[in-house]
Amino acid sequence: MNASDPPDDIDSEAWEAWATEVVDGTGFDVELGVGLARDAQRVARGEMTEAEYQAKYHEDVLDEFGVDDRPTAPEPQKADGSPLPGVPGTGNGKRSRRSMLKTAGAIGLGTLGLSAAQQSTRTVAAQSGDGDSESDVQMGMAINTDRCIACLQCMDACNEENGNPAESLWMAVLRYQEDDYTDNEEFLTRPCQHCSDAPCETACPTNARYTREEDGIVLTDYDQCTGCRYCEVSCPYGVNYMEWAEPGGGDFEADRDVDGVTAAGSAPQGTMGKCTFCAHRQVSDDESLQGTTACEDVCPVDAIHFGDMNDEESAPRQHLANDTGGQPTYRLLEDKGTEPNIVYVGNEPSRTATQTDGPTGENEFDLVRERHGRREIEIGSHEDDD
Amino acid sequence: MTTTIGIPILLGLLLLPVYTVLAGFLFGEPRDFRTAGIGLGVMAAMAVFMIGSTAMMGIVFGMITPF
Amino acid sequence: MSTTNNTILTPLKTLSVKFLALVVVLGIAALVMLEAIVHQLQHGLAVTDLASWGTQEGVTWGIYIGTFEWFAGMAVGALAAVGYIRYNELTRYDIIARIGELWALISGLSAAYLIVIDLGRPDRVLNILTAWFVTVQYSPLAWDVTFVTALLVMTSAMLILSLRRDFSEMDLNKLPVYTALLGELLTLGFRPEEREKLDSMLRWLGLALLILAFTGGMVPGWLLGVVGAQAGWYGGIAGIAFLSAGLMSGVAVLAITAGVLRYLYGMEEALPEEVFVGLGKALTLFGFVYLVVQFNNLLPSIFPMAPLAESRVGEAMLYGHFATDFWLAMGAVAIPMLILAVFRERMLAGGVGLAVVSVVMLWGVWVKSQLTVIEPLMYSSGLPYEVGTYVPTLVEWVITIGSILVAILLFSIATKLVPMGRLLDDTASTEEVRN
Ligand code: SF4
Ligand code: SF4
Repeated sequence: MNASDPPDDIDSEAWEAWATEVVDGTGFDVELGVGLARDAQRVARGEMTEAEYQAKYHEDVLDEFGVDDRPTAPEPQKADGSPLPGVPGTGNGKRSRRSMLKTAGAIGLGTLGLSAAQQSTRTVAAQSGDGDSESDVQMGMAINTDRCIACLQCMDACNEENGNPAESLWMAVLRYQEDDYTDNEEFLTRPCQHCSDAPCETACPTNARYTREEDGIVLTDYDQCTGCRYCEVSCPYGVNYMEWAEPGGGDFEADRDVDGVTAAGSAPQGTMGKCTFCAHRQVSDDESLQGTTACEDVCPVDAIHFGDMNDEESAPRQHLANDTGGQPTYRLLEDKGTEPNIVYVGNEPSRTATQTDGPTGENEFDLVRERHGRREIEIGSHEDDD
Repeated sequence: MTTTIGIPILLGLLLLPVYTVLAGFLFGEPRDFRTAGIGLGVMAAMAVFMIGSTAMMGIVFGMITPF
Repeated sequence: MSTTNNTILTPLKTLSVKFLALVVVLGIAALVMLEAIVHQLQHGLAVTDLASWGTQEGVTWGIYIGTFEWFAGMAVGALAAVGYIRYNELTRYDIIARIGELWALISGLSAAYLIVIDLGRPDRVLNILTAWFVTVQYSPLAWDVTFVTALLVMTSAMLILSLRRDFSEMDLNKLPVYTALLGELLTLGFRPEEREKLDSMLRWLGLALLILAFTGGMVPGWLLGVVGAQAGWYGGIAGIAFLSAGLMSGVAVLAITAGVLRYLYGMEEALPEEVFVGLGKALTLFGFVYLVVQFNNLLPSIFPMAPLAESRVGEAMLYGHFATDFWLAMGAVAIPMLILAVFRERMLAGGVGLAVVSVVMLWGVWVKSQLTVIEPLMYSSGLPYEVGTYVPTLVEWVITIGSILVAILLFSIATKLVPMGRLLDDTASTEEVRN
């Protein structure tokens, strides 16, 4: 088949003949194929917009091929305008507050409650932004544990940035060993996984734990949280830190306000805190802070990559595409069905991995493991119990 | 879908006794809407009382809690 | 029949020094507990030994939640007994129904405030109610709040309506003045024609309580059972396990109370031996069911095919860190159950023996409730975390034991306020009952 050099003029008969021959060879509708090809050329030359192109052929393509999965095809829409669940690219908002309220409204409960008005504030804030609140952005991280040297600077930077007390290790680097006859010590850098199907949210009886619709970050409304700790027991990763006592950590300098919700920085006494993906930076007016986290900034070996997991150009996606160095990638405890948004590069800790003793930051930084007022923790002291 | 399982649980399970009471009080023999009304009134009043006392408890605790 | 039943008013009409002493002692306990609660409110949960599981190597939920589960179970059991008695109009057990109404209410209230005490911000408890319309769609804790509220509302309605009927059959002038006042209030606007309807309404309410016990009654179990993150909680048997524990402890608390009342006030006629035979049979059966359910719950986790996380939890229970507590708890249920089954006649005469074994069984269920709550958090699985520790602090003990003593105090006071049952010395009503 001679398809090498198409004539330049797409309106010429020579081009038509060339294109017909090419498409004919595939066995599909010739007229459609030729039309598609011609208009694609027009798009390339700027004579036609992509949207016009998509609209013009969407139905024909569906008829002919049954599906339209061209990379720029218009996303199938449900009647209510929300993207269908499970369509790649819808990312966050699997269970958005808005759909909750809709269900409540549908059974006539939402109208009754104070709660509906109260709860919808963040949704409204999200909606008024751009009319399409279910954004495609899903913030996440690629963490290369193969690079991690357990310098614990991320832990320290996190507590500094958020004004956390020494014992609230929103970012924790776990040291562990596998029971595999090697003495290799491995590290697991463990922030909140900002799950797309977060059990902590499903647990919360006050609706304080929520997913921010703009970027899929999981946050806690500190004004709403009652400190019941149901989120903590239902999270498989152990990343939640209740503020048992007066936090007394450093100062949190940024604004705690995230779209009208008090959700950034350390948690006040009696409420639940956990990694916020530096939410205050994401909503900051300073553009250089947006899309960054304190732990990412400080990591000396560039193990942490923060960004939009749905954007191929983002730091985590780029890292995963180009820099894994042949290491395996995985998501933590994926079988728990939480759809975590952190992708690890390196070895996954097995279920039998055991924690090993090592510096936890007490000497260098203001970091401790034991809760204020409780006895000191010794690693390995409970082995007989096992 | 799974996340809204609460609605069937609420309407189909937790409220079953309430339906039973409503039906039984109103339509059970002998029919007597006055007494049935007293019974339902007692229940409504207790519901308000329970929620009200929870609120009171919150307020009192709030006065003691310094944070 | 006319004279036999009079003894139900004995607790109302007597006021012994011993009773006053008991109230004083329990009152002091209540004050100590109040002090502990204020202390905790002022300093926050830092006064407990609770800590985050994971790097802090603690348990997140401790004896407050364990005792909550215990009280909630007791409420469910008492509720089921009341429902059964009222629905089937078992007149002989009338006094048991009244005891059950009081206990269901008191233990429901105890459960409710323990949950509030356990909050990091108890002053925000109202948030749970204001967010309810949204959270009830998914949060098991919101279902739990719904269930506890329904329990309290329906039990108190049952208590009020049955008291309305019972007071209407009594000569209020013969009662102590405060009881008479209460009777006055509860029989406001009472018409004699109402009685038949009230009887029917109590039956319907009894049915509703039975339904509530066997449906919503599983919710506190689901609270743990749906948590996929915690091996040892997650699973289909959690609701049943909770319910079986509840039925047993509910009947046990009724048996204790009945035994003590009969012993103290010589209520042999109002509480005949056959009532204790009935309670004893129920306790034997529910104790057996409880053990069977526990065995079913544990077996998969200790069998060699068990997944790692489950087996760690199961093994800690059976022969590890918690073995002593676990076996004591199981023994505390199994041995009384066997004694009841074998020596029924001797055990039940007088009710004291039954009361004693009931106390032991209740203690066993309490211990097991604690283990159920604490253990998975201690033996966390998934990531390389250490085994946690938990030694409840004095404050936690004072509040927990205090909550039990306060429940006893409330019940003791209630015996002096409300009649323990229906007075059948009025010929008209006696005949009615016989019909
Ligand atoms: S890691 Fe835990 S706290 Fe974070 S979103 Fe997932 S379930 Fe929630
Ligand atoms: S501790 Fe706070 S955020 Fe967590 S479930 Fe309870 S109320 Fe929600």
